[in-house]
Amino acid sequence: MTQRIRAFLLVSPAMLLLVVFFAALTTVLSMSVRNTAGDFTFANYIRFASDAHFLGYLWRSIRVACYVTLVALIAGYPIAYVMSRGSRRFASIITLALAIQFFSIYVIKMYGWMLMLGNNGVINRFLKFIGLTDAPVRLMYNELGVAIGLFASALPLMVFPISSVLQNVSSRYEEAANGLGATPLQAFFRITLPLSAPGVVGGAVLSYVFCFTAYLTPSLLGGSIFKMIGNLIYDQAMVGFNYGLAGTAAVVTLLMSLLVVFGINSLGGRLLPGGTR
Amino acid sequence: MKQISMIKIAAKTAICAVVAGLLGGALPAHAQEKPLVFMTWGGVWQKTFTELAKEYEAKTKQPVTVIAQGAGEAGVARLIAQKANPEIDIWSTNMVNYERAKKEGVIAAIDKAAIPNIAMINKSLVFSHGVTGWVSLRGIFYRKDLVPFEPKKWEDLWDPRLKGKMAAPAASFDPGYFPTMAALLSGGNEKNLAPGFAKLKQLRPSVVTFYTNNVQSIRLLEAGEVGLIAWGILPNVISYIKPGSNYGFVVPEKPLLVAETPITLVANNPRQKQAEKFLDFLLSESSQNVMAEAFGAMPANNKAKGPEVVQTILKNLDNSYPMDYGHMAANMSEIISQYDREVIQ
Repeated sequence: MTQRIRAFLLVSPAMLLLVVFFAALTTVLSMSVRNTAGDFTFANYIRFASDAHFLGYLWRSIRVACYVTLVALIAGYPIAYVMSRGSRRFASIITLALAIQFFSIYVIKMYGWMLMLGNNGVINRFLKFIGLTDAPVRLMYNELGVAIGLFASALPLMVFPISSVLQNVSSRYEEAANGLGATPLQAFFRITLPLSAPGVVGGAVLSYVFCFTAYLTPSLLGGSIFKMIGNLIYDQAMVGFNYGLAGTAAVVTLLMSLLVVFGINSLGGRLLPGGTR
Repeated sequence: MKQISMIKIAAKTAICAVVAGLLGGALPAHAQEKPLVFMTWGGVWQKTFTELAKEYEAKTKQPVTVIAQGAGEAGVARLIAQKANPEIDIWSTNMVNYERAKKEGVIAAIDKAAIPNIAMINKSLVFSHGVTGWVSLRGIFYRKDLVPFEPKKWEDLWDPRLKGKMAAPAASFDPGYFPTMAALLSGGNEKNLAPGFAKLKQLRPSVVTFYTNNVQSIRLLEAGEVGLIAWGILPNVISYIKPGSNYGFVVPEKPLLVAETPITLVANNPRQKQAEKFLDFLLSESSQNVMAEAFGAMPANNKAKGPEVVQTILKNLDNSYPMDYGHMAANMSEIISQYDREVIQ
């Protein structure tokens, strides 16, 4: 009996959190199937699914999240590899740089990017100074600016999981493969990459979900011209007070995120057999 | 044995805490000693009202706590969430959220007899469930060195010389006002915004970006990203408007669009009498002078004077357009969707 009580006391804070979490989700779901009079209806879902304007938010979010995650993977994997295989000092410097990037206040980061990417920003001034352009290059207030901002924030989310898995993959496996006649590239693709699959999958999931549900980055760097699903949810809930439509968009976002997480996990298991188990 | 006694101690402590909580709740409330809670915007608004609250407490012994609400929409959402048991006593907001709050039943009807200073307020600034605390002006904010000419009227925004030089408000910024301005120029109004959206579509090539908050709009101008903010809020930029300044602010008068800022009393509130007295204090000439000066706004009290810089920008509110805020509040979801769809995207 004492052990039972102890176990219950240990688990109860987490259970309370879960209860609150699911209560909030249930509230959002309930709002999505009600009209302004409080009657049950699927009208919000029908409206969302049949309006190209609202579907556009969803499509833009999926598109940007996909390619930003891919670019973060391509750029992040080598960084993670160097962090796990390189010299300790070099690894520490990279870790510190990424940690500063990760833990700095998000709004300040985005304002920093605005100073870099603006028409009168650092990059455009430099391009003008070296004579490469006369007029500013449009790096912000569009999809490019949003993608750059999201990539910068998603990179640590990709690198850290891969690095932590790679650190547990002994380099002796690669040495053994080399000893048996495999080239370094063959050793990497046949041994290291499959074994790092859990980190790749984890990083991809974190990056994708982060990018897919972004609000502040498209708001600041997109100039309200390139808006994503998070912006629609905020505008409809907080400005339009249309909780039905906002709830619908939120539920669709959640379902899409779960679908993609499941898809990434499955894909990771198929493309990298033996690596995710 | 040790584990059993620890669990016993923990259980006894928990029981004591529950009993103390029940007893505390059962004790009669001393409404007079408990501070009134006034919810307003942060920054200069919270700071100014905190100073006024200290003055009020010194005179009446009634403490007042001033808290920030973030965006106005967050304020009304909070009141709705607390409807059965409000923690806020007095609330300042904008007219759209005022209408929303009135519809939700979270603000109380004003008893004019209980607030004598209402007699000093222009009748058009007194509403059924709130009294205007100050009037915030709207206009065009610009940098003189970055625009080819100094704008004087709303129509100047469509001047081709301003192509690529301006930022305009996003749908969520001061929602509904900007398309209403464009509609009024095109034979429409807030109930018929279609002409306004068509007119704003013509403005699109001139717009570099759309801003969602005041800080962003000011930053765009400071950084030289744009030369002109198409919809500026004077109180937020008043510190930039000085003689000899590189910044200018014009309040076009056709149409003259202003934002009344009602102060309201929260409904279902056992301290309504105390809240009414504090509201009366805020409507007094001296408080109104302080507020107008701090906010760069026009006072609501007829005897109070606004800051000189505001008086040079606009003499009086006689010709201000009477917006149907109730209609805007009821249709805001569609307005912002249409604005995004037809103007921005």
